[in-house]
Amino acid sequence: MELRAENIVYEYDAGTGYAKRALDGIDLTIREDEFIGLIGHTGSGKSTLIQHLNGLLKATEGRVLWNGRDIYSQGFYRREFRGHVGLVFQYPEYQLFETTVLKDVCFGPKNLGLSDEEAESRAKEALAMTGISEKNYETSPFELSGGQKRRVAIAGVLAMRPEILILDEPTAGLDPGGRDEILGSVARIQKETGSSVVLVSHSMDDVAEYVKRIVVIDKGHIAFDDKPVRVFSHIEELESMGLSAPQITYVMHELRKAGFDADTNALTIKEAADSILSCLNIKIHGSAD
Amino acid sequence: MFKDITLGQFYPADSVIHRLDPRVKLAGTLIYIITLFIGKSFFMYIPAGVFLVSVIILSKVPPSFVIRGVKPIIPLIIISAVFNLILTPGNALVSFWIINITSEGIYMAIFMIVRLLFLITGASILTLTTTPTKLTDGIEKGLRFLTVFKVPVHEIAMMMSIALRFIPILVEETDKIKKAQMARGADFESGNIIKRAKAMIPLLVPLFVSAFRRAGDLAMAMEARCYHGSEGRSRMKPLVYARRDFIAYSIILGYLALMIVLRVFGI
Amino acid sequence: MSIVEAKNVKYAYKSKDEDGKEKEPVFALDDVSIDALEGEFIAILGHNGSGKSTFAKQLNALLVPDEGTVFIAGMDTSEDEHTLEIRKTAGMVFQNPDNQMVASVVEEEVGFGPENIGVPTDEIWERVENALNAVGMYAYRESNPSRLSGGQKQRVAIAGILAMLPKCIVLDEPTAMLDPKGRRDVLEVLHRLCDEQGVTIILITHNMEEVIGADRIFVMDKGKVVISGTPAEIFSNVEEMQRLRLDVPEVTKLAHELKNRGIKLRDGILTAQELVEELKGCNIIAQQ
Repeated sequence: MELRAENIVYEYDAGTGYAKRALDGIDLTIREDEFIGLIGHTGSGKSTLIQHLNGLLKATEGRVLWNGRDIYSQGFYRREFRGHVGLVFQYPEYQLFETTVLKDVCFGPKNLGLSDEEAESRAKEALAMTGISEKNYETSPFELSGGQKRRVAIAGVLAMRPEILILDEPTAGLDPGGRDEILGSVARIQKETGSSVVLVSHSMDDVAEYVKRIVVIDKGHIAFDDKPVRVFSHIEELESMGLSAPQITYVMHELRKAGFDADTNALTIKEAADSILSCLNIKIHGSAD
Repeated sequence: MFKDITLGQFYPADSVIHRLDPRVKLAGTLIYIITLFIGKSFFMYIPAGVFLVSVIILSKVPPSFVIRGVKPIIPLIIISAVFNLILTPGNALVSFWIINITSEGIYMAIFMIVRLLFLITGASILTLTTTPTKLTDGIEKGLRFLTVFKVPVHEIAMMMSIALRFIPILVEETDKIKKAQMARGADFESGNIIKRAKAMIPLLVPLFVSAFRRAGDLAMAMEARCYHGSEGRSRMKPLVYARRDFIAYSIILGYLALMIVLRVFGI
Repeated sequence: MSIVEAKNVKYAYKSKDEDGKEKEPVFALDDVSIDALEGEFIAILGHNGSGKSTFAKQLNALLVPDEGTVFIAGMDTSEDEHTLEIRKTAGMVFQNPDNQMVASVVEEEVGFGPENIGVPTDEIWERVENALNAVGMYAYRESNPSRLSGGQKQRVAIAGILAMLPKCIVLDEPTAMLDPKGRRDVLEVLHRLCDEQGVTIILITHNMEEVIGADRIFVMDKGKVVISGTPAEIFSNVEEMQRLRLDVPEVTKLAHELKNRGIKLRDGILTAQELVEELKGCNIIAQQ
């Protein structure tokens, strides 16, 4: 499985005097079993980019290839393709419309032409993965809490069994508890199904713990595409793009400036604490000699 | 689909027509429409045409823009012309099956086309040269006398201005929901009418839910900002007549008088 | 002087079951007492459904207590004749910037409140100008609000309240739908209004980074105030905060972890600088 964007250029109002470039030559490849964070501030082009990845927007220049086939070539079945590359929009709970939770989640699989039984079994599987309990299957989605609605909406895309799942700021507006629940289930789904996940966010802190690769987008260009630690080492460039490194990275850099041999690659609280303890121990031993 | 509708859209420019008090423009439009209906002959449409063209030139709105506003109404114009063509009794020129096309019919059809074109163009000049806020202000103040008959003029005007404010938001929202459903494999483009109408449900339900939620939020926000109807309300931009408004009123009344004279003398 | 004084407030949303009988009331607010002095920056933290938004509406007389009392600048919210005066004194900004704007031009939006309370035309213009300057949005006075960014819209909404010359502004999750830059801009405006103009700010949020600069914090859970105090006092209680589905700053978590592993650090470390300073201290002790 491979989704490849080649030199994508996208202009709003193309052909008129007001043309504005939202994307300016994007190259991006997504393969199996990846967990990617797509980071950029508002207006960087990240939301425009993901709509190209499932064919909702058509690039002004460049092409998108799904397993080597151009998704805009003749006879390419784009509706089915959108089942392979599932896109969960921002505030997805606003797309719910059915009378019951289960029916709403069945909408996607049914559009793919699956039988009622098959759609239902996939919907139940997806609901289980997002942590919606069985007693809620027959309730109206509009009666659920905000966090639950969002998980139902995510299940609605998951039920199509996408090979790549793209989530646009899935935690926007949720409280810390709700945020951890959503990100936790997404990480679990990634691990269990082996599908690839792209988390779109403007916060490094949100994604740092989870993702294995970070793509930073700025003014329609890809600025960085690397392992998290390598991306976070560019603190100043990130700040000039209106982004910031995770807070832990800042602490470790500050400590280094203050003369500690702190490990600036530490990403989690545990790693940071290990590193700080080890440099304090060295100091203690050093003084004991 | 929303791009083509210029009716109800504002064209920003600095012209004498733009600067006129909205009440003058509302009254002018109303009088103009009345004169179109008292006009019985082509001859009477000459002064109406002159009046319309002069206003368009003065407004500095490009004629192409005005014409674009008429386009969506063309099917309506054609339908009414056809009805006039085949349903007007008189001397049959051509007749087949149960249809008689009469010379009176042809005359009426052409007459109807001109009348409707004049009407739409005139009305669109009003909205092209007046911001929504000024328009509702004009309606509120110009129709205030109706409050005597218990017509809630202020409330109607407030509803209109809120509706205008929320149109772009709801258009954007429609696009977002449509894309979200397409990402779930929804198909809005193919199939027959029944299938397409059914496909609209996943779009319309969330849109209504969202519109109601927004309405509830807005009502609360307005209440929190001390909104309590028109009573005791002051205005940031009160409408005050200037000299040009009185001149415009005289011109409009002069035009109305001319048309009445033409009608009475049956030219 | 107290601007806000809520004492033992109880409030329940009434709902009916399918037979039309009143259901057992669920208290959204259960014996809440919160006060704010003039010029204070107060934060109310709580997860979704903790009752914090219900409390916000009590301060603007959009809701009135079932039991207990709310006084705004000495006026009882349950007395109808004070309603307009209370809403003038304690203005309110809501979460969704789009859903609280009435007008299609920024300056008219800001003028809406003063119009409602019958301020004379010349004075409206003056107030609108001052309010837009205070939030740094004067340059956009003729723009259409729908063309602004989320953070800009919220600043216009704040200006709309400021133009009513309030003593207190209550903000119900004003940054929940904003990006980091919009958040920072809004927060900066709020602190400036508090420091320079002495406006009391009551900020309701679930984002802990926004409350670090507050004078006092009230943490709500299940309709009750469960903890209150200064930011340092609140965040020294890492486990309790996490139990309440709230976060503490990453730095505080790190300091907590280090303490658990036996390093002596003071409580309530909130910023990277504070932590580095503390660790430097440890260093000296260790080296001696």
